[in-house]
Amino acid sequence: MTSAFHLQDYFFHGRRLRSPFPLPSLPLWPALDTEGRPDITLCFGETPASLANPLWSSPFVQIGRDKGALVNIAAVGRFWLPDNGPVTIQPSQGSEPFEIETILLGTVAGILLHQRSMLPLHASCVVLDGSAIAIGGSSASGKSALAAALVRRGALLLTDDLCVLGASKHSVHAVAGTMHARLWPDVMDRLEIPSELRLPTRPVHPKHAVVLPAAEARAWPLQLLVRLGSSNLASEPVLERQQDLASLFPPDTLVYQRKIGQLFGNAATELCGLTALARHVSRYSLRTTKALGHLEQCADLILNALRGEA
Amino acid sequence: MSQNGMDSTNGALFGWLVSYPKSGNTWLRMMLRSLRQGGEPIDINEAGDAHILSRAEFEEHFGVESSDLTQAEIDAVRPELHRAIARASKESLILRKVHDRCWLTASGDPVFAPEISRGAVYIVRDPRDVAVSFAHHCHLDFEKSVQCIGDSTETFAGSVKRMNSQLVQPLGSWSEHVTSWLDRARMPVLLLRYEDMLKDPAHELARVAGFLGLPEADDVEACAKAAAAADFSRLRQQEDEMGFREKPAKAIRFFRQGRAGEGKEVLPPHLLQTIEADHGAVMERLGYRLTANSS
Repeated sequence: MTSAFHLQDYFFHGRRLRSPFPLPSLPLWPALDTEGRPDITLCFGETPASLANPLWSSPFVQIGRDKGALVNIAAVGRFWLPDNGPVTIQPSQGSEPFEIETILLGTVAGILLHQRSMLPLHASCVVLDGSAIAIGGSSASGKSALAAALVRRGALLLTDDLCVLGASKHSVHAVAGTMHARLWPDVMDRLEIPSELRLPTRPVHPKHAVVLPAAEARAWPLQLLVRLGSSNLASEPVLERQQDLASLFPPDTLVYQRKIGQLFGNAATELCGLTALARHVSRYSLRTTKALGHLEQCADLILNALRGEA
Repeated sequence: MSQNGMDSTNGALFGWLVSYPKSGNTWLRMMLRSLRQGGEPIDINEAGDAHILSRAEFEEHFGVESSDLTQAEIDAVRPELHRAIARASKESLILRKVHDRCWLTASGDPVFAPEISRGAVYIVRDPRDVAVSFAHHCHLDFEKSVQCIGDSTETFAGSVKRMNSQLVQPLGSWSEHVTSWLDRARMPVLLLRYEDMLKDPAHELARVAGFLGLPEADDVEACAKAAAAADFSRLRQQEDEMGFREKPAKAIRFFRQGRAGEGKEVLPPHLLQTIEADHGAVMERLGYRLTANSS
């Protein structure tokens, strides 16, 4: 996996990540900047098999008391994220490079961002006419599908599933992440994604990483936050502007793996980010039906809302 | 199998409300929700307890992106997920809706572990009526529906075409589902017949409440009020007026007929014969009279 590849720097949610293997889902770090040091370095090597006396533990993730973290997906490999130092990957025998990338840029990325005191939303994000639109929601709520539908209407993908926020005094920015959206077959078929653009995420797994036109890898001003609530209460999708702070609740489905952020002591980061969202970003709730036939209609509702905000 | 009330002091946490799909599980949940509120009217769309296991819950307890895992990886940790939910709960009793058959992981661990289970209420319904209701729910023709309830490999929320907010639930055939819970659950099981719920819902609700050790179990008036509050016609009326968030996208409605005997009226003879050929032994065990092959 490493023999024919030189170290490459990538744009990883605003951080410079140096990898010894290709990560085609990430944009490259700007070529002009050849001097700087990476913020995050990946390497291959031995990892701990497990953490002793962890602060928190599940069959897949352990968070240590020293703020180190270990992700273990037996068929793929172990990912060791010390509080300081390179992220070490110990691939399992026979694991494919693309599945290492899948776990690295999903679960591992979320933990890494929290560990580095960043605020990742559980959201996909696109850019249209210079403004970012974040689509937040819990798993299976349709974030990636809606982002892909918006891309089909001329938007550019900024990130899928994990959206890091940056806040300044007067604005909130969404930061570029992965250039691939992870989609299921029904959505790929609905959006007529050609088979050559469907890349595997795991061997024999229905979800694929789809190459989509991507926005320039930088931070973009976040104009809209749309939170998805999937239900069948309405026969048609309903998009509503929300004025009050309740629009940010429950934060558990807004912040990616919020509990892990709390384990890293990021309550203040979260509070600052959500406060900035409340002050500077227009917030909408989109109640969708589960019918895929409404996907384009949902995209149109969001585009109309964006035009209305302009 | 035990049909008796269980020891509510055994420290276990889960009360599983189990059924093959379209057998009255949601109706029972609504009755229990009202009962736990003293028999008050209920909102069918209120986020109540006794929900089915979700991907979001899996991710919250395990800190991992569920859709990056294979089905085998998810299945292997289902018992641990239940233990994690039990550990995190501050309640003495966690009610959960279940459509899974009672199954073991590949390494032989029971998914519904006895040590964290108070017991299971198993709701059974005549499979001829299940086949009709399942067809409407899943937007299938009767032929396909009958095939599904006879299929050992059948799952719920198991499509590989689309992502589902629920985890995949192995069902097995209707007969396998019934016998897995009644014969191999390793916990007390209360058998509840849908048809008996129709005849006297308050009485059946009181049996469930007693089995689960709910404090309202002896409150006859509250049981009657709860049964009335969750009367099928009221559930249907609420769905007419406000919709129901648990209705599948393709189904016209969730609360449809809610009666017994429809299968024998609307299924063609060859499908009634198929159902009885597939499930006759278990149907007779549960008191569902066979008719197709004797006519």
